[in-house]
Amino acid sequence: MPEANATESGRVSLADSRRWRLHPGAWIAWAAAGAGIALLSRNPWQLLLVGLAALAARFRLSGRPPGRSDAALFLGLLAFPTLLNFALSRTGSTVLWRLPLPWIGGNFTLEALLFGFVAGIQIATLLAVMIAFSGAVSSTDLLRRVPSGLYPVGLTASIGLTFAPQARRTFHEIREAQEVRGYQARGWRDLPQLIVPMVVMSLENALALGESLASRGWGQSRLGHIGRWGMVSAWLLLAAGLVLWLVAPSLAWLSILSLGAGLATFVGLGRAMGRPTRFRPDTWDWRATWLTGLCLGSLGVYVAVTLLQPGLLVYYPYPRAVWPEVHLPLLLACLPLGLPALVIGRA
Amino acid sequence: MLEFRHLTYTYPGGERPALKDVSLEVQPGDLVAVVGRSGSGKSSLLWSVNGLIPHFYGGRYAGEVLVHGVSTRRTPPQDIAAHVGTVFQEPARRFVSQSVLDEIAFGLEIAGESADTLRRRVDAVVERLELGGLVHRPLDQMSGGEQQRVALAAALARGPELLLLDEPTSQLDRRGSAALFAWLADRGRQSGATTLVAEHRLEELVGVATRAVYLDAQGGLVAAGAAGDVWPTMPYAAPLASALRRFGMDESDPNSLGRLRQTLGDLSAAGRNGRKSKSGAVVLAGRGLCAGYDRNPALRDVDVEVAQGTVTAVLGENGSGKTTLLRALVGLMPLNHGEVIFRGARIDGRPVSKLAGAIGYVPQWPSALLFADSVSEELRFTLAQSGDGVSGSEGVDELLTRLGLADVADRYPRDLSSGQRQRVALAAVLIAHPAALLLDEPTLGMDPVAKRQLVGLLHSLASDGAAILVATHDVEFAANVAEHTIILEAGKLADFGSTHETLFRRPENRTALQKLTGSPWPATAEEAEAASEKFHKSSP
Repeated sequence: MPEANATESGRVSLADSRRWRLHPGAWIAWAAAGAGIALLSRNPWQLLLVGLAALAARFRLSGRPPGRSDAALFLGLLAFPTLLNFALSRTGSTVLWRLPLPWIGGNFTLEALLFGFVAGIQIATLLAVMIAFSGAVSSTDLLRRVPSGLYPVGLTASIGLTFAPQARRTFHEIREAQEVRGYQARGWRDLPQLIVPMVVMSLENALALGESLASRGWGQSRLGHIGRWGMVSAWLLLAAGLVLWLVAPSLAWLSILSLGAGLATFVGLGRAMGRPTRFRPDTWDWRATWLTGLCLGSLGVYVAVTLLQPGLLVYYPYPRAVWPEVHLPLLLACLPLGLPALVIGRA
Repeated sequence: MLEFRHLTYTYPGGERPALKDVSLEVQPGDLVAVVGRSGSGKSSLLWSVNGLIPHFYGGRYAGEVLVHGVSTRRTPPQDIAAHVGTVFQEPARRFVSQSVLDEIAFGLEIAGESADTLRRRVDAVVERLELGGLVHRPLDQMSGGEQQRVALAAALARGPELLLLDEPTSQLDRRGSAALFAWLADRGRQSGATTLVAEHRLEELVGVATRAVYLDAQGGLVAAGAAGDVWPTMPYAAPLASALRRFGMDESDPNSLGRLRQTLGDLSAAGRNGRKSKSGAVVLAGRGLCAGYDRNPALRDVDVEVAQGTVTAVLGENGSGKTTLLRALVGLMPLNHGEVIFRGARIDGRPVSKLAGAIGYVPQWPSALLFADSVSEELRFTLAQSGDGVSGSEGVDELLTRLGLADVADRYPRDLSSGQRQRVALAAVLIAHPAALLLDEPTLGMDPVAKRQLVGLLHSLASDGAAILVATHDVEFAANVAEHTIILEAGKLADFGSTHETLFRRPENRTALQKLTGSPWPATAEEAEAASEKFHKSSP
């Protein structure tokens, strides 16, 4: 679907490109739910379901099936923590291999292997959610939604979101540049020759983006003097609420009061600023409403289970490996994350 | 409108100031050319206006810059952006979106413009910069020149009273550059908008700049004032002024051009069209080259030959396929059809790293090419790859001196100015003495003195037997350096022949001297001077 049409004279008219585009707000809710569940749960069935939903969304967006590089990335993410934990942990009763050496020797167990493997699934699931999210939402979508006064957060989010495509381009450029100078990496020892310029170029790109955003006026406050102080107060109230929640659970009422006051100030200031204009306004439709509601519901279920019955989210293979339990209601609660694959059009 | 008061600025960790005691005033409607050699502080001068200096970069800062009476030292860049638009070099690294229209609209959206104004301004700027044909394409699939036009549109859409442009024409073709400066001059006359342009291509600025600021290599102000008064104070000049100087004529005398036309006409009539066309054995050739995406092929059945001991220029508008041609020849771009032949053997499909010693390639933005800790280390790295680390290291200092880089031999390459980085990348490839050399926009960011040195170096490499292919949109440079010229249009070979004739056949590609005389030769001031000396020596 074309994004826009340009006439001979150069005038631009927007086509119906947005019809199948899901509202970025709905995607934010989806990513919050996906990342939230991936962080709260250690149950591999639940994590796998979230990961598969994210992969389905990703490939629906790109219109391309997973390639070899995708498979290599996810296999690497699974393999690294699995092997690391297998090599370092000596706990567990199912011994797969024994190394009769002092210091580095001992029992290498199935339990250590499984624990590392689940950690790998968790990392891969988180990455799958973030990859799908970055394919669906542009950095400008995010920047527009960052509240005034949150310049560093918006900049960081924007750099984070553009990091993967930028890093891929940078990697490609460096490999090309090294090839044209006759250099060919021969193994792990040559890795610094690739990593160092990649880090340097990524930092340069981040700086370039930062100076570009600043010089284009991003982060400019549309609030007056009082409004700016109001924004500072809102952040302080939110921070105080969170700190109280963490360090003094007995003062939960005070923390809730502080959080509520902070949120109310934000909403008030947001209304005072008015609704920003958009060149291509995003349409909030029934799909966005349903997806947001269901995803936040899923996240709510997992938060509630974490508080009330955390054992349902845990898989702990020590001391003897057992199959992870299947909790059907919690698996069902993950299903809304698969909805984008059904209701979105290709990018 | 804009005032600098004794501005002295040093970057964090810098040993010497980038700008030294700069004081000047700019009036509304001025189009100010900021000129000076690479590393003279031109970009720093611009960033002190939009507040990136000192707010973003830090460093030591003394003095003050005032925009509409507001100090940029005390006002953050985000607030200054309401009045000041900025266009950087390397725009691709600074885009916040993937779409042309979103990129142009971004600044207007964050400024809180109404929906109607937003649409109207985006439409107007797309129409004015003729971007209608680009709005469908993702930004990362555009050529450097096309990306630069989008970056310009994004800055202009907000209608800033003050516009800062850092080498805006470095990747624009001639038509694009002329249209841009015509528009900027119009804006100045009609709405009093002011523009500061840091630029090396003086030929683009002469005639449109109302004022000029000339900085020396130490960041000090040498001259500032009416453009016509500043140009003669500079050690280098635009092509016509350069020719006048070479013939001892007064640049400020309006009759001088008539006398110059007469002199050059005499030389032309004498038939001393200096440069002999050389034609050695073909070193590198492409036959029937087709490359690019299926729906949007960048190269269509192009034949090209580069002979030993010659320099060939590739010219064409932005997006015509110049870069793709070079990448296809070196093996970085897969061919849909055709073959690449090096010294009689077919090489397409061979690993690029295996060909590196034989075919040197310097890309348009060579940042990725530089990864050593110092400039001299960059050259030694190449030598180590070619197995010539010990014997070849003697040539390092010599090559750095020839490229004007001896002073920065121990500096970290990525800290240098863009023109200097370009030369370091060139040196890093040249040190391996490749038989064929492919250069993509090698004059990007280079000042005229460095450009002259580059011309000398390429001629000397060619006389040593190298076959050189240069993609450029700098017609004056092409006329100075190349025996043969290829013109590409929309990925197809549109013209080919000796440089003088090929440039002259297309009015839009004629050099300043060709336009003045209406004759293909002499095309450059250097040629005219050399021919004149010969003429006088041979005359009784």
